[in-house]
This record gives sequence, structure tokens and C-alpha cells, in this order.
Amino acid sequence: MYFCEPMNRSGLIILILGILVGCQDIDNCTSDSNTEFMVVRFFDTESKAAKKVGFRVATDEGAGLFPLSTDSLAIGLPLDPMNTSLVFVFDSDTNDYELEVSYDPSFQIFDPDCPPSLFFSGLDTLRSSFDSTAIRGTVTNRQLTTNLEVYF
Amino acid sequence: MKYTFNILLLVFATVGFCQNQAAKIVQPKYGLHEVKIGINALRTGRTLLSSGKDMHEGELALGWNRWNIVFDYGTEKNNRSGGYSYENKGSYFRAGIDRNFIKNIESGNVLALGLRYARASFEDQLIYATEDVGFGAQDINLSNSDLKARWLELNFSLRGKITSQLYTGFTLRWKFSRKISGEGMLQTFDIPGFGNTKRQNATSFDYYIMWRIPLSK
Repeated sequence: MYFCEPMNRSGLIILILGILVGCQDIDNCTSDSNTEFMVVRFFDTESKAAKKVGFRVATDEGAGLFPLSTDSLAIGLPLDPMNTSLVFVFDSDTNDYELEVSYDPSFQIFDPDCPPSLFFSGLDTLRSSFDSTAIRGTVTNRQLTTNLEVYF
Repeated sequence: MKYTFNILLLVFATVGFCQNQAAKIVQPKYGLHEVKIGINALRTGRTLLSSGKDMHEGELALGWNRWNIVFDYGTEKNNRSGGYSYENKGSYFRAGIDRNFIKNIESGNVLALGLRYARASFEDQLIYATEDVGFGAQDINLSNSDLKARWLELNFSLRGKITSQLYTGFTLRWKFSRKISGEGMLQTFDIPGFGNTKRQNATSFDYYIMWRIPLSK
């Protein structure tokens, strides 16, 4: 006596097709929360209020130049995935500042139908000529509105 | 939810085809009474039907009274592309025990719940050209050469006799408590035997074709 009778052929084909269709993932590249830059916000040292700035920002490697308009409260600064630290030079008409940050770059395939995403974790300040800095988020992520606060 | 259709279809199909089970109940026998050897037909099927996938798995099940001691061993290779190239390859094994709720163990049929401990050894490589975000377009070539993963599984298995000593059936797996070691700058996407790393836990459906070797008279 058999436990199961043999399946007929059409039932088996439907079964296999159902499995193949049901196992497909839905593409959604936009749900990847990783970003390739850190968000820096500027504050007044005395009042702790948000401060509008007009810096031209470059890296010490001279590879990048990221102009900033005169009424910006924040800037997104890209980080170099081939290094684990980077020095930014903030140049204004009156003052120059330097900021060195360290980080751990990682590549991740969020969805096989989307390009690999790059994100940075372990974000920290190594050196700064601003009055003070504060890390608010150690991972570059769209859900974070601030990675680094700068007071000057 | 994506497996719901598959699971329901399999359950209904199996229940529908399995109404002729004998009510024969025999006294339990102690000692090894059967060996089943088989392959995971679904994985072999995906190798044949999907490009970029090469996966095979074998299963050895030892029947001991109403317990089954189960070993799985498999290899898996995934190639993914689309503006990038990602290759992941390695092997895995599972070992564990099932409680068979079929009382007539001489029939070789199985309706069981079980636990598995699984480990995978694998490597991966990503080749990708980044866009210029201030540092120039960069050619990324990252690899992890000694990746390890381990996880636990809760399994629901069903095996039924097709003809002679040929059996077939499925195993539903819930995989949890996953740990990965050996990752560098590249975070791995695939784990052989587990699936992808998008979620901490995973579910899977495996379909086996097995040959039974009875050991008791």
C-alpha cells in the first residue's frame, strides 16, 4: 500500500511553475537606505543655534571640491571608499577650517537587480580646527538627518 | 508571504494524493531500521533552469525507531550581474534529528518535525566601477576568501512512497540564529544553503527524491 499516489503530469507542472513564480523577489532599489556621504550641520558655538554658512569645501587630496552656497545649514560630504580617513578643508572669505574624519567603508548588494550600495560606519572625528564637533550618527543612512554637528 | 502559495499548493496536493495510507500499526522496533539516500530535486532543477546558479544537495536519513537522524551536504555557486559582477561559491552541511509522527515506521513514510544545525564555508567577490562623487570613478575589486556561517533550522518534513523503494516529499525550513564571520569591506549577499542576507531569518522549501534501503526484516 502506497502512502501517496503518483501525481499526474499536469499537477506536477503547475506545482513547479507555482514554485518558480512564487520565489521571485520584487525589485525595489529605492528602499536601499544606504548613502555614500555624511551629513554635516553647522551651529553657532555661543547660542547653539543653527548657522548659515558659505564654505567652499575641498579634500586635502585635492580630488574633490564641493561648493556650498551662503545660506546653507548643512552639507552632504562624500567619503572616499578607498581610504579609511579623510581631511576636509572648509574655506570661507574670512576663515579656513580643517576637519579629519575616520570611517569604515562597506559595499553591500541590497538587491541583486540594483547596483551595489556603498555605506560608511564607525564615523568619528580625528581632528578639527572648529570650536567643537559632535557625532550624531556613526552610519551614513537616509534615515539620519545629521551625522556630524560642527560648532564655530 | 511569497511562499504562501507554494506551501498551500504543496500541502493540498500532498493531502489530496495521500488518502490511501494504510492504518497498519506495528510495534516499535529499536535499532537502525532504514537508510534513505536522496537528492534535492528543486536545487538541481534551479541549476538546470536558471542561469548563474549551480547548486546541488544530497540527503542521508537514518531511521531509528520513530526518530530520523538526517545529514545534508550541498554545494552552491551564484553569479550575479547587472552593472556589476558578484560571485559567491561554497559548501554547507546540515545535521539534525526529526521526530516521525507516522506510527508505521516499516512503511518508510515520514511526517516529521525536526531541528538542524547548519554550517557553510564559502567565498565571494565583487567587481564594480563606482560613479565619480568627487574622487574619480573607482574600480572596486573586493573579495572575502574565508567566510563562515552557521544557523539553526526548524524543519517540517513529509516523505511518501511513490513506488518500490522510491520516496519523494518536501521539507519546509525556518532558518534562524544566523551568524557570519570573515567579512571585510564586502558584505556577503548569499550564504550557501541559507539564502540571501537581506533578512536575518529565512524560509525555504526543498523537494527530495530518495531511495530507501530497509535494514530490518
